[in-house]
Amino acid sequence: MKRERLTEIIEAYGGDPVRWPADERPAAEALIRGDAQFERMAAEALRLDALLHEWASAEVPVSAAAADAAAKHVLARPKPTRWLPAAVFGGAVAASLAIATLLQPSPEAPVPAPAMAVGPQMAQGDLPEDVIETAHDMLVWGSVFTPTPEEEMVL
Amino acid sequence: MLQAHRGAEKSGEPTELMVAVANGDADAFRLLTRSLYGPAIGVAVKVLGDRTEAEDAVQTALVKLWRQAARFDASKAKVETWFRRIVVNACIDRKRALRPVASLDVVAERESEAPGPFAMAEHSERARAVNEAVTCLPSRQRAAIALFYGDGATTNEIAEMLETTPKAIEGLLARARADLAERLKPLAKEMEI
Repeated sequence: MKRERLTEIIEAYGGDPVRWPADERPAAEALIRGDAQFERMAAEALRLDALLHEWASAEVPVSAAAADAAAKHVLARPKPTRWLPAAVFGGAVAASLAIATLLQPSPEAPVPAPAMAVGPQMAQGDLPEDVIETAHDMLVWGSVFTPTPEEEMVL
Repeated sequence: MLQAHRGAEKSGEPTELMVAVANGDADAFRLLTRSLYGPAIGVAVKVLGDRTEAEDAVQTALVKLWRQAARFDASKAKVETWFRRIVVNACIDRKRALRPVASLDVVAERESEAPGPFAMAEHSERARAVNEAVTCLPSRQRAAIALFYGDGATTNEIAEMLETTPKAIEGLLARARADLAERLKPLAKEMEI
């Protein structure tokens, strides 16, 4: 084992050899033995280990009533039906496609150069206000609320 | 379903309770919540540094447990490990979504609504200093430290929970420890014999 690697191990895992990677431990222990610099480094690391162990091991009092209340709260929520995630996802995709179609200028229609520079702002001028608002809402839904696979399961 | 739950209730075996929960057994869910809730809050408080947010994160994790119980595979992990992974990720997601971390002064002065490890630690200047230092870490580093020192988890186990590689966890731990060593230098010096 190189000295650099032992340094990395102590920096990451601390000064207790028990926490070091098992496959590297024998070589690391052999290297540290009798090396004053590494022994000092390990001793310093052990002091930080002690502080962090104390912090991480602190008990958090939790009552059975709190656990029961949490369970009750979850059970009060309706379980999603199996088709809902697919429906939400499908709706979001459809909304995105609809927006893309709605806001895309027709290839036949001549568009003034400034309009091309600002894009949707000029397209808005060509469409009724309520259509623009609906399209905007759908765009927001499609981009913000398109669920990830994990969110699909929660929805 | 009922038989599975009755058996689980007798043994209190989380894996059996999970089978019943997957079948929609609310009583089994209540029993399982009782055994998982305390440890989950413990980890969440350490990762988030706030009892109220920890309770919200655990609530989110419980919703996932209730709705995704059928996805649990007993051959791959223990229930506790599976749920802990959900909790840790709920905490990290929450940390990403929430406001920036409060300043150290605010954290130090904030009154806890319920006694947590940090509230309890107020009797000790040392514990408070460590808590403040850990609060400054990015959430993934804090999660890695909490799991490494609190659970005695290996880098492989932490990597699985945080959905990354053991090498990346080694880096997280090293950066966290370097940061903490700097912040806690005076305390560490006090501990020198």
